[in-house]
Amino acid sequence: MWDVNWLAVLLGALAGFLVGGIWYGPLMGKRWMGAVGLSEDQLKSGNMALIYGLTFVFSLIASWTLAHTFATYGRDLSFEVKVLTALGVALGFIVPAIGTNYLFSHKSRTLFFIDAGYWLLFYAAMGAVHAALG
Amino acid sequence: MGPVNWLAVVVAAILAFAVGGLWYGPLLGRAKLEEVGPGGLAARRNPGRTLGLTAALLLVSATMLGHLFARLPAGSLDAKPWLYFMMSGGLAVSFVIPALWISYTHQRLSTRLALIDAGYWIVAYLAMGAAFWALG
Repeated sequence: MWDVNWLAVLLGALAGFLVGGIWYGPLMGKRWMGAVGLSEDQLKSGNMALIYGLTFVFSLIASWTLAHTFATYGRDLSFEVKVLTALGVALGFIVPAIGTNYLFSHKSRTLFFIDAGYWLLFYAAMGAVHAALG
Repeated sequence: MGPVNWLAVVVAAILAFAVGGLWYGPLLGRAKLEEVGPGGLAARRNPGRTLGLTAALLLVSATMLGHLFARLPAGSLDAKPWLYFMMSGGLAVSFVIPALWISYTHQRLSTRLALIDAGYWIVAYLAMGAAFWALG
């Protein structure tokens, strides 16, 4: 279980984190704020250290699990197949799950597509790091 | 996709759906409603659409789970039946819940709501794993 490439775990989580900064920053930041219904001031009043700390810890958990999966079953998978596997996790498990939750919490379709898009990009980036570093 | 157990896929989706009915009904329905606020539950507005889409989404996840089990090295599930639960539960704990929690925390949603929804996914994924285990 612990025989994974820890550098890839760290960089994979970091890649997802950075994609988030771009996606929820210059690319979709304004649209996301509108869809959530929060103003810039409201967002700034949150406990940023806690929010980003949690985000990074959860990213590390996902990244380690991906590394563990590849180390157990995917040692000889090609670069493309590893990236596709990571994308499959996002598309097959995460996007349907948040889709269901958003549907029942009556969140807007815009918010769903922004967040679903983020998880696909996050897993593509994380998968690419694990595929490259093996 | 490998030899997917399609019967188990359908049963898994139905089980996850049924777990949802219990979880968000008699068990935690009231708690969820308090978190989401009045009029916040879409199921009350257009139940057919919400339930139909939910069934479709659960079917996608059950299919992906079936694909995953079908791709494991031959015989590994017979030798280690606990893998059905470790893998399905692991998917919920290490991929679904971290993503959900990250999205929720950035939206400033309450920890209670995150816990209710995260709890559902653990139970739903274990139920899906059980369907594959029972019908595998």
